[in-house]
Amino acid sequence: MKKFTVGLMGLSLFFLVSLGISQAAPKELVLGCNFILSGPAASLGLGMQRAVDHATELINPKGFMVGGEQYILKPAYFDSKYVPAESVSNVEKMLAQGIKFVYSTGSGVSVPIVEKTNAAKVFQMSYASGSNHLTSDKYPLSFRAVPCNETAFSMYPWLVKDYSQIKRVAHINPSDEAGFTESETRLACARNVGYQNVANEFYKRGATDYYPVATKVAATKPDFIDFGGTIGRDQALCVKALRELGYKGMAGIGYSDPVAFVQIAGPEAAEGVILFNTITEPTNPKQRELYDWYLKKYGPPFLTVVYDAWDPVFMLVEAVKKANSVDPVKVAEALRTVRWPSVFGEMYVGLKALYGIDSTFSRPVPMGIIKNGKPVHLTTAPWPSDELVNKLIAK
Amino acid sequence: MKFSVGSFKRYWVALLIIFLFVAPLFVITNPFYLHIIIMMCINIMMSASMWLLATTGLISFGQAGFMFIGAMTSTLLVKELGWPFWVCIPLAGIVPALVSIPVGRLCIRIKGVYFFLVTMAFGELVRGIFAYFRTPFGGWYGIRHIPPPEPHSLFTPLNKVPFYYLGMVLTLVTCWVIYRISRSRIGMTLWSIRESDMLADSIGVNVKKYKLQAFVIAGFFAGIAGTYYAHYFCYISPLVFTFSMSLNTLIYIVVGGLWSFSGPIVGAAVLTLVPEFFRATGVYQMLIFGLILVFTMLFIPRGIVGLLGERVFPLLRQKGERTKITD
Amino acid sequence: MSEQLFIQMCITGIVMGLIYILIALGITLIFGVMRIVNFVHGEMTMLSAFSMYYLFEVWHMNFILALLLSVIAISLMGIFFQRYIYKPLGYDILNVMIIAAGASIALKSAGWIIFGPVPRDIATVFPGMIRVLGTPLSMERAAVALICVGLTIALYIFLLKTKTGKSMRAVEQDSEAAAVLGVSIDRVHAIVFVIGCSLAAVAGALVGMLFAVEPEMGGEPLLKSFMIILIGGMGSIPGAIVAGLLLGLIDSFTETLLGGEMAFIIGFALLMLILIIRPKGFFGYEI
Repeated sequence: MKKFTVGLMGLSLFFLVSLGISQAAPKELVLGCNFILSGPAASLGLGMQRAVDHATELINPKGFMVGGEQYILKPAYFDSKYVPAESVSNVEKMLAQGIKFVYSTGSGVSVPIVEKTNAAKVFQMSYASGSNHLTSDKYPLSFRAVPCNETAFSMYPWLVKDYSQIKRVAHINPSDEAGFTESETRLACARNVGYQNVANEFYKRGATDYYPVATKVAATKPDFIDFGGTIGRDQALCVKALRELGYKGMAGIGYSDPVAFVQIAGPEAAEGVILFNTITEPTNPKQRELYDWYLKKYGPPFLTVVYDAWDPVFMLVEAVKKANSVDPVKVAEALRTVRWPSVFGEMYVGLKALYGIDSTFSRPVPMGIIKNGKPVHLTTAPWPSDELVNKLIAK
Repeated sequence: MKFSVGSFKRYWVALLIIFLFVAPLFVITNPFYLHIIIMMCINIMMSASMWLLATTGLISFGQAGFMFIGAMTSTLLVKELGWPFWVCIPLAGIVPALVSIPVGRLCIRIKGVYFFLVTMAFGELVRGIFAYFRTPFGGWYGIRHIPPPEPHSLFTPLNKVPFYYLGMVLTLVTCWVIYRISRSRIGMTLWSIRESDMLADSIGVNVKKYKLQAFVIAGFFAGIAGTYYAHYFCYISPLVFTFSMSLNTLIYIVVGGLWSFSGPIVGAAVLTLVPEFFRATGVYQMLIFGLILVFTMLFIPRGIVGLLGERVFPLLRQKGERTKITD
Repeated sequence: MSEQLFIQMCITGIVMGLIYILIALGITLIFGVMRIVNFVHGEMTMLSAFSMYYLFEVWHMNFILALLLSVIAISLMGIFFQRYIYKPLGYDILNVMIIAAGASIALKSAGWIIFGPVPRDIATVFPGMIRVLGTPLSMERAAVALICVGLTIALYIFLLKTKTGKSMRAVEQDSEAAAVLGVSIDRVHAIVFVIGCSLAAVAGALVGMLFAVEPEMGGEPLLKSFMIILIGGMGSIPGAIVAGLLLGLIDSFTETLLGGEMAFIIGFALLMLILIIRPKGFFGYEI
């Protein structure tokens, strides 16, 4: 009986205190994060989680004002495991909890929830391809927070300018969503800048041995192999296989962690490989700050996805401030007018020419290359104008 | 007062069903909880469908494949040909059932552990074929924007309640049918086959025929579960109907208890619910699930229902008997 | 099709086949003697690869020493599983399958949590390229192929000639009779697990060196191993060897010529076909 009374008193005290605290606390803007935290693509989700956490650390001390009230950002993490049903369950849970802002990653799991989030008038921004299944005028509340296959529009004009020896291009992509989208976009770009597409191969994501696909592609004798949507160890193993089979031409990879790439492919195989849309080494103070912070907290290697996941959080908060509201519809409208100095350069929401509505975060595209076993910065290609985009996707 | 375990169970089951039908109106209005129950329905349908087959000793890892075939059937019929959903539901069961006849005939000759591996191959084969042909099967992209059942005004993306009732009805029908079968001559025969193939054979039972019937039944209800999945999630792809899904179905049955009909139902319900408590833990969710599985197998090998049967019900029975004696 | 291409495909097929055979041997041995399927084999491969990564790459231990330590560690893990996880279940094949599936999920998740998401690699101990019949072949692939062949032969000799090997074969054929003749069943079970898991450990080190080291790496080799064991017959070593080479070659040819997805379909269709024609595989055992 005594234990019971003490327990009851303790419980009441606890309730009173938390009640008190909650009254004085600033209001929370919950960002539901539907990330891939387990399974093969987990590095993406983990990197994004770390970026969001740090962004929150920087935003919250001052917070932001909306309609005269003090707000702070609160991320809530959910693991989609790259399984569509899990992603839907995550969003269901978020909706039930009243979350109105969703940050998602992975096209296979971000696209299935777009209908639902738009119908529920919930804001969604995703690091995913998915082309017009993800962002279109049918889904005004859905944004692409990181340009994916769209960076090809910057890459191909730059290749033509700086590497005039390229005539024949081959494409290697994983045989899924993201891979097909990348392939479509890149085939069109290559064709419309005057290259000859000699191969368009798809491999099963996560395969162990890359000799078969490497053999097939090398036999078509390309000058440049575009790895499009290939990520992580797949790229490294494929490049390694290509070099072992005697391929001497150029190769371009994106979505990579250059250090891990060099380690797995081996420095000789990695030499000269172009890293498109990749920040290889910090070239401005913003990048340096982020890079140093990460290495200090988590140690090497630096996950390049952190650069990508970082600014969208700030842009979202900017939009909320500009709209002076936490209503997703108003925030979405305001977001389309935001211009943010991101680590890549000026970032804004664009690409109406492609998707019928401004919904893809646009910014300059950094290009790098592996020299002497180390990733180095080459140049920064500009984001394409609307007419250039139209020219590059012409049939 | 006479008290028997049988009437106890029946009383509670009836009460539960009534509660579940009334719940969305007053008690469970949170759409996330409705979503969980809908997931439970799908999982219960899958494990119930496989249960009869499992009782004969044939463990099929291809159920996800039949589910995919059923889902694909109704998806294509509704999307491409514009047929009404309610016509397609039975077809979504019949088509995989038809496929399962030749597949079953070929596979049933194969014994024991080889059977589960060849059905696994079949499941992957279905995925591979649907993945290879982008038209009409959608390839690895899958098929999107699958229309919900008619009337569209009722089954909107945000309103879960009609889906809930549809799921309840389908699940109850599935369970009832399988329960009746298990109690009928077919069911008893299947049980005797489980006990001993050769013995059953020696008394004139056409073992192969009955095993095939169980296989076809499993295929049929897997297809129904598949079409319900397709029209609720509105998206199917080879990423969904994987070997993991078939494995999960088996896990529900074994953890719930293989030996009685309520086993797969309890197993599916519990194992759909438990991971939800850990959903917010992010990366630790799968770790916890794996550990739960390991500990369950070590400490309750006869499944949850087996545990209840061995420990809990005998206690209740004892109490009943004591009451009877003092009367 | 050029002659070069043909030879290249053959070599690729044989090398990959040999690697899968190494993993398959461990599983089929355990199945043959104990009639259970060790589903955590893939994770053992993965853990061995990570162990090699930390010992050899990060702490710069001698390769052979690192390999030895990894093998011992994985063998101990194998014995732990055998004694405390499989044995309490009475080696019932269904229950073992499920508990192993659970353990496999848990181990993979733990791998992600502990090792983090960045893929790593074990630097090659066999640098350089050689030419075989005019086609380039990396030294490391050649070395791996030779190691696999060597281990397979060693296993075969062990089972056929040594006393322990013979007692294992006795238990495989009839455990009751073997017990009557004085064979310690428990000891044989433990030894089988040690050998099976050691093979997995070596395979892990080799795959980690040839390819990459990450928590998911155990999945595909395990799947391929099962296909090999099915085609060759559960419990049969010659079967695993023949099926392994066959599957390696078929995979290589279909993937190069037709693309990964067709290869996926063909692999499984073939599997079903062979099982339907010969339900026990080439040389398999009745269950």
